[in-house]
Amino acid sequence: MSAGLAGLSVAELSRRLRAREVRAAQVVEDHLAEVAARDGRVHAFAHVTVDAALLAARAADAALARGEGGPLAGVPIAVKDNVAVRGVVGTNGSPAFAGAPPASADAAVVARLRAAGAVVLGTTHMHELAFGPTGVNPALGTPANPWAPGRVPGGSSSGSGAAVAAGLVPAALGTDTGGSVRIPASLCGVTGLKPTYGRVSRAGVTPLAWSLDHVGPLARSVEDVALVLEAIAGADPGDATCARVAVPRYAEALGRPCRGLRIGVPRHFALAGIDAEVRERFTQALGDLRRAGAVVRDVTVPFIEHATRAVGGLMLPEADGALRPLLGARLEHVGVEARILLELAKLVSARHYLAAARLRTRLYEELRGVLAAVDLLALPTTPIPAPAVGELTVRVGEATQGVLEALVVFTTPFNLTGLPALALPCGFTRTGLPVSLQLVGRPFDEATLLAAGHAYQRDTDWHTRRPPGS
Amino acid sequence: MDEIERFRARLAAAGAVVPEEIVSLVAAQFAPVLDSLDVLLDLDLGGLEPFVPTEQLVRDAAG
Repeated sequence: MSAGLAGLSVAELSRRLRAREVRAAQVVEDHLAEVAARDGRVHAFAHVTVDAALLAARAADAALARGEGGPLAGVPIAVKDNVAVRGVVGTNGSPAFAGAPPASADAAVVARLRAAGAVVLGTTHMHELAFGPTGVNPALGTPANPWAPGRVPGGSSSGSGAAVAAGLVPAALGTDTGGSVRIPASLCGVTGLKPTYGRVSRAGVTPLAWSLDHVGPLARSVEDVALVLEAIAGADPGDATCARVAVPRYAEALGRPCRGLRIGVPRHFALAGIDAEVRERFTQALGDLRRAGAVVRDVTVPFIEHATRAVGGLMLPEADGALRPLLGARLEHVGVEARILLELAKLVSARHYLAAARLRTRLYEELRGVLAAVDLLALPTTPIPAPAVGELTVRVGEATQGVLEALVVFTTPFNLTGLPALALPCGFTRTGLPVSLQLVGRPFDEATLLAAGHAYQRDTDWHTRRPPGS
Repeated sequence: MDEIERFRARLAAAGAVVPEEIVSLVAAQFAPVLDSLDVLLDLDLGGLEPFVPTEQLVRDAAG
């Protein structure tokens, strides 16, 4: 029988486990029971590691009983299905990997989660090969958006966003190449962080685009995101792109006040071409930050409008270079959307790629200049709430936009520049769809970003709302 | 030449294969995105070097 532990936060579960008010076995059994009862509707999990999770829970209980156990001891977590979990066949969201052998080792981030005591509950569904922002996956199934079945969950970390929003798991890992942690966080009404490029190891993660890929956590609060980040961040000899930059105690830095924080809004970009209700909620969020003592002012970033095309110019050839050798003869089993994208990569020339790489420098220099004068940037995470499954275009104001371009327009600039970006719920549309605020920080300054987000969540309750039936 | 024919010609020139039955759909979805890449070629990017995140971000974090 459920003890009602599913739905609690990472922080609360951790507190109860350390106080020995609950056992890790109970916590894990409760979450597994929720998954068994409800994931048929949510379709968030690709694979549930029942036996391994129960075994890990018993080990966590033993460690806690000895007064040991890492900071996440006994806390269940899910992992996107492009992150290797030992003994599990990673599908990468594609039928092409259906017959692949199980992973022989954990990805570095999974090993770190386990070292911190977390219990891996399973792997989550995703947009095929992480190559799209909707989460729609005709071959392996599309996770439901817990707020509105029939609407996309956002991708590519669709199952991770849906699992956290539905309360099946308190936190999950995702990957983000053009917004794939932040977009599902936005559309599913949860909190998600794309850390600085190089902050978190990508060893053992299936690549999409080497210069844009990031790994990051999704959870229901900034506090929980901070706790998971603290466990997974830091240099890794197995990933040459992973930086040797000290990792602060993020959870301890959350108490910093918002007062005096300078927040820049690229209004010329962030408020152009967005849904009227998203604009309202975002403007209200800026008002909330002002009331908390932040100084909000407009900033100008002229080259930011080119970010999405530059990501296209980099991502397509990099994905082609990473995925074709990986897929080999399996390519014929890849779904039509991803196969078309790999074909379209042939239309991107070396001149396009080089121009995109140079534009990154230009945009980074602009943002570095802006972030010398303000502490953070604020913009919406997505300009639209969750579109319907199968919708190819959306009407935004007077204009019709492609859904794919619309979903990524505000997230791509920070994959290009590698800056850390946090998505957090900031309200709902009148029809009950989540709206999300995005805060962006300086390189490796996730601490300021998380503290500002936590301060916002202390003053608002959007992140505490739960979808019906969760 | 209409948009779809132009797209077909572009695919052929690059050796890209898209099933004939979905060419119009793919053109509608992606031709504007591919066209917009050409905008990058016309930008004045001065003498900038390509961005290397592993170097630039760490340097700025240390500073």
